[in-house]
Amino acid sequence: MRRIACAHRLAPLAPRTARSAVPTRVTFVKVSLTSFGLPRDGVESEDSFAVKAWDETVIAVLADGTGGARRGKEASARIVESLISNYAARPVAWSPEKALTEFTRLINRTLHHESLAQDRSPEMISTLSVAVIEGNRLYGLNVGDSRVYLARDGGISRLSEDHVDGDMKHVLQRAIGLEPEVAPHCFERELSDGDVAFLCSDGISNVLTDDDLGARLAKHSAARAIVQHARSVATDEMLDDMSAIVIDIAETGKLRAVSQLPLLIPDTLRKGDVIDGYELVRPFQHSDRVWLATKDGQRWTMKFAPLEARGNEAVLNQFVKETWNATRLRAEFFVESFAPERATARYYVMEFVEAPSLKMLLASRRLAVDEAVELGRFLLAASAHLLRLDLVHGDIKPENILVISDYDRLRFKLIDLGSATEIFSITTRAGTASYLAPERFHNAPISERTEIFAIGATLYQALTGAFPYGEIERFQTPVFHAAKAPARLNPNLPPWLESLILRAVAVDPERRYCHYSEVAFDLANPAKVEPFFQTETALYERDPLLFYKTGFFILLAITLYLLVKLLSHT
Amino acid sequence: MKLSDLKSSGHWPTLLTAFLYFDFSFMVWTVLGPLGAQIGESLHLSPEQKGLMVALPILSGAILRIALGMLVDRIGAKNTGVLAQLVVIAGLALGWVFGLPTYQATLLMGLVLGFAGASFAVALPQAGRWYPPNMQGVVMGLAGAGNVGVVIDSLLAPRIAAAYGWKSVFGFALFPAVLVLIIYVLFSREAQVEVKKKRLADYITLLRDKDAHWFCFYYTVSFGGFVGLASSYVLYFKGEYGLTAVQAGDFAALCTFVGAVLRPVGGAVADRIGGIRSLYTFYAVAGLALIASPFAHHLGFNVATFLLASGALGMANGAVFQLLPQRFGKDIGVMTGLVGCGGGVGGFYLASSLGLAKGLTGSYASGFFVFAALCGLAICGLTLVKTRWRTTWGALANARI
Repeated sequence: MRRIACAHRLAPLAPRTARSAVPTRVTFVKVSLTSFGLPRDGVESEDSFAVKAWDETVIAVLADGTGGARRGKEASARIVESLISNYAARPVAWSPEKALTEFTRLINRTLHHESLAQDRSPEMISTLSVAVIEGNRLYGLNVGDSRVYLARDGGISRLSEDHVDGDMKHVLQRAIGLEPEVAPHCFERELSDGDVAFLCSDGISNVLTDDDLGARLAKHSAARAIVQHARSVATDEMLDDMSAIVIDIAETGKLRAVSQLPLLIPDTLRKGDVIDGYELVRPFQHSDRVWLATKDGQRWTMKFAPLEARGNEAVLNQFVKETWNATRLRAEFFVESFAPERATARYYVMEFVEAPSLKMLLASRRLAVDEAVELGRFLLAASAHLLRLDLVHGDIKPENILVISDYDRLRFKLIDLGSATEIFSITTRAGTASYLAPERFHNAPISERTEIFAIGATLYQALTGAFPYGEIERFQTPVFHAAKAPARLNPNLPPWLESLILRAVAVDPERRYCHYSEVAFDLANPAKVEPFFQTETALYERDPLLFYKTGFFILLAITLYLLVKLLSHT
Repeated sequence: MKLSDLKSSGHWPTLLTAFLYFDFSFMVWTVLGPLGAQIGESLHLSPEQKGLMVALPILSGAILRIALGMLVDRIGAKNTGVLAQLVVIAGLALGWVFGLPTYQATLLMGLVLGFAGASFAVALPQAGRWYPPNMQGVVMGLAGAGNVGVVIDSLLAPRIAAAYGWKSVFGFALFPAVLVLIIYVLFSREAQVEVKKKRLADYITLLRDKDAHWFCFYYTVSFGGFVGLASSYVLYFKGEYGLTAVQAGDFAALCTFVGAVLRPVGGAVADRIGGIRSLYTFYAVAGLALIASPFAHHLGFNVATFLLASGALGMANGAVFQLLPQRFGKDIGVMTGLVGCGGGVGGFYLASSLGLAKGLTGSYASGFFVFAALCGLAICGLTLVKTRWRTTWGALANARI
């Protein structure tokens, strides 16, 4: 077990003061929220915290970035942000506990792999404690030593579990970002009116006893008062970042009767079946779970959960996540999707776009150069859009691109967000083998670079009809040789575009483009594209000038040597 | 991963005894193959009867495999192993004392020998459960190397039969049988792990998966071809080229050995160039070699075609088992039983159909052709699976592993 000391705070930046002390009124659950943070003298706090409330839900998240790791503050801030935004948009099919656990695992994987990729060691490490109130229940989890308490009738109970070393209290045994997988401690309580939930970083719990805290919470102290009290009793060596969130539950909400209709996964789907008013017209040729349907004279595309989802939780999860991604990501790049509120079966609905996939189009013709440039721009813009949400598509390929002909130009739509995932969050071979970057066959995490490979392979195929490295099967561990120059397969290809594509599909990730923006820049400025040569290319082809120069100097050396010989003989 | 790791983790006496048990079992499972010619002569059997006689143990082994697999989860691997071994010993002893006076007796013997063939389902999980996941491949390979038992069989059985009469082969087999039983009882231990009991329903659920059908079929062709050919070589060489039983046995051993040894090579090739692509090649080579076999009227040429066929089918076995765990993930235990059963059925079919072809048409040719056609069918199936794998959601299957 790797251990991280978290007692020393080393962030010599501008001091940060209280973030918020404004009580918020919530409509359904009557609670008042206060939160307050105080950094250690003169340095920026590595704690991050936030509270959000809507309808009958309140979520409070507090993370304490560890000082031993270089990017602790960044880690805690990102954890708080990602948990709150993910939870706010959580799939309805997931229970609060399930959603919190999944999102915690996700941010853990993301931070861990991202830090490994960028810093070569886990540097984004933080504790995490979360409390969620849904109506009259409290759900939560924690990793590390930031605590969650529940105060009731003058008493106080600790819900969280400290993941610290038995002897050395400042050494964390579990933390977000530390290991590839994390096992959070989960808890759940029924709430009654007058309860107070309290979250704090170890800066406070190390200073105040549980009894002291309980007494203060019973008097409905605000977060600011508790933090300042803790600061006043703390000795110099105990001084640490201090943050606290107080959730005063005046009146618990009555949980809306959540319709617990078991969602059906239909056995077989037949033409003419009517599901929630949608009449099935015909299946799309590649799958019997995706159908063209009509409702009120409108045409829609319906995607049903696969049959395997019945007994297999992983498969069901995958479908729930796909639905979630498809319905929350709304942008011009994707087809509009939604999941009907009162659905009786597991499916989601997409707008029907009457257009062939790029794959189907490629069966009849190759793309022209300007069309391919347009496709490249589109894919990069769509990927950049996803990246702003910390996501990657994960399965970019001609099958997943719809081509819409608008008079004289082509428009595109990216479909199948089933593989869309947080960047750096997976290290498996998920996706389609022929478009997977070589390093992903050896457990490299998904990243901008690996997405650029998929975009490059798609462009290669769009222009030549062939795969850059031949077709690769699922479950294969291929050996990559230099790709065939695409201009040999399509003579119309200008050299700059060839270089761009070859650089995008470079086998060595270090030689590949690093960011979408770099590719987009090259695509917009053909004159500035540097020629790309694969390692096997002869020097003569790569740099004729260097070739002749080298030749010249070698010959010169030989001539001089012979001259010296000749002279010394005479 | 070093071999010395096998000693430090897990329980190597169990691994060793599992290997011995498996090796011996495979040996007696196919003992009727090399003896087929001699038994056939003394009982005056027709080619069809001879074919059925060598094929029956393969079929009963395939079905018993599923039964013993379920028994292992209930009464433990060791108890199941001892039970199966006792049945086999009893069968061998009866065969030795009373001989096989009639055709029906040989069929009965075949059924009993099926218990030896089912040892696969006992030995592999017993050894495997002792070791961590990252060592499973090596452990399975070591325990599975028992396939060599068939080779020993083809070398020794005809010689013993020639010297002392075929009845005594069963008697000679009793020595290692009892020895293996004693060692097995003394040294093998049950791993203390929680095992999810396999139920018949699990098999049925898996059978609803289209890929499961295809995998069963691929293994029916590859393993069925391998073991079916192995059982028929002696009869074939003796009948077609008039060799002595000993000579025929040696050639049979050679072909079988190549198939058994190339199995892991096939797995490695599949990982490198892709399972489907490699299976295409293996099935095509095996099919062509089988078609060429009846036209090769020269012994050397004929042995060459059989070497090709057995080698390609052996490699196909390895390739199927490279794909199987990746495709079926946690269901691999149940799937192995299912696929193994398919393989046994294939072996039964090939071995009996060769006899049938000889009996009905006077030549083995049509039997080989039909089996070559099965190879062709497997190639068509591969094309189907390939398209479906390309279109099913990539992330989905990975979520299962």
